[in-house]
Amino acid sequence: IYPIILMNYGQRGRELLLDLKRSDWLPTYNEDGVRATLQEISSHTEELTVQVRAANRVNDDAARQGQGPTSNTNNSGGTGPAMSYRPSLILHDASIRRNKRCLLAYHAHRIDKLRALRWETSGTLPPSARFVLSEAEVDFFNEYDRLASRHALGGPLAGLDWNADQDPPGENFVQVRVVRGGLGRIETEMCGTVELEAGSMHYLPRGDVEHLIRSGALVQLSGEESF
Amino acid sequence: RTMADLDNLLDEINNDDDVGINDNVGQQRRSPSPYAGDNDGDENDADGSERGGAGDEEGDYRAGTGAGDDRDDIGGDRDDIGDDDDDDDDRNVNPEYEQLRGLWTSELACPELLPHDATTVPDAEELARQEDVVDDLLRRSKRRDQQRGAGRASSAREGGALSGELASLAAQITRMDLDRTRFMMVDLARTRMAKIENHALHNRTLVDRMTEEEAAYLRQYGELLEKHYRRTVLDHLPKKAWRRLDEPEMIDSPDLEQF
Repeated sequence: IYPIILMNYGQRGRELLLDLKRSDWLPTYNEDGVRATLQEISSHTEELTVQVRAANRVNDDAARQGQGPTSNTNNSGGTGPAMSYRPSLILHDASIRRNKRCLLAYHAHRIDKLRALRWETSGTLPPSARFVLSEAEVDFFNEYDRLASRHALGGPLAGLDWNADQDPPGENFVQVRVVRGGLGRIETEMCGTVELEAGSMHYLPRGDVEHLIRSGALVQLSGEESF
Repeated sequence: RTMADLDNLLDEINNDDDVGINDNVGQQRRSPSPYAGDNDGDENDADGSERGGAGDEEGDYRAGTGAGDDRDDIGGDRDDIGDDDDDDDDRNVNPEYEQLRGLWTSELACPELLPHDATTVPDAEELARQEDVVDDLLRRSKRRDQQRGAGRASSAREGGALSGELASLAAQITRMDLDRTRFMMVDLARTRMAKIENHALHNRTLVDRMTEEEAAYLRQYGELLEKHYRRTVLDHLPKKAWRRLDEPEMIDSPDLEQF
């Protein structure tokens, strides 16, 4: 009785990856899919072990009867599993590798997105994102933030804020409108204190408001909109 | 290029300050280049120091914090008073700036990590110095407005009003230059960091191209990665031999044939 009845090897792995492809940013962490794929690997391993043992048994029997290992045509002239079992062994081994690769790709893609997110949000994990991540991934995000921040602070460029200036600077001043309420006031270098009421428009130094624009609290106006 | 005007602006500002010492228009004022102290660019800071001897704050500020640096940023030559900006790009080229920009562009374009170049990357201190320049210019612009109101010597008043705005404008331009330089430096560092992360296993062979900090970062990041993979996938695999991450076909190398 074989534990794997349907020959749908690699389907679970494939589903995981399709999941990623279908979503905008990231789909919810597919705990079940991952577990099922790992389970598939275990099944393959069990089957593999059974087959290897069977193959070796065949060889041993043949050896006892005074013959060489069954149809063993490899040049080493030595042992190795019996020929007739080899396709099966190769198949299971390949399936295991494929599943491993799918799993690693799944996780790698997700943490790639997480790394990008960290730079967009300067290390603050937005609640909407947290929703789709596994616990391990949340930990990764925080540790990566720690690591990256520490790296930015060491070395010759320590004085600069690496989170700022992520696009080439255009003008010195930008016109912005406040879309998120409750921001209060901010201090600017050249314009004093500015009260950021929801819906108000301001003309402010780019450096002071860049992080707010990136986080979506302010929207940069192109200057062509009418008042 | 607006940088040519910065020369003129700063000339005028400084002239207005030294009411009565207006014969300094043509004087060569140079300070050590901000980007590489021992570069063979414009090394005579003697003049800068002399002007500092004029006793007032403006002279000191130039010699100390390097308004001359601005002029070195924008061009090695100073014979550009009043000409068109667009025609004379070759004369206004600052070699260090171009070097930095070339380095930045190459790093962006190359799929693999390039050898690091410590000489070209300007020190953060020099950037801080330029920031001082900006702050100072701003201060002066505000101060002049006050002078105007107080009604001092008429020449100071007239010159003062004009210079107030000029100083403010000069501040803006210097700030812009500063921002651009700063952006290039930080983006260069960030790009390299991203490359290290994206091809972490591949980069193990390229450690000699990294600075010390980057090499340490590679190690730490690699550990973080491995820890994450172990936790989510590898430790759940039945056989120990399958838990490796660095078999040759598994390593993600940058695509060197990209272009």
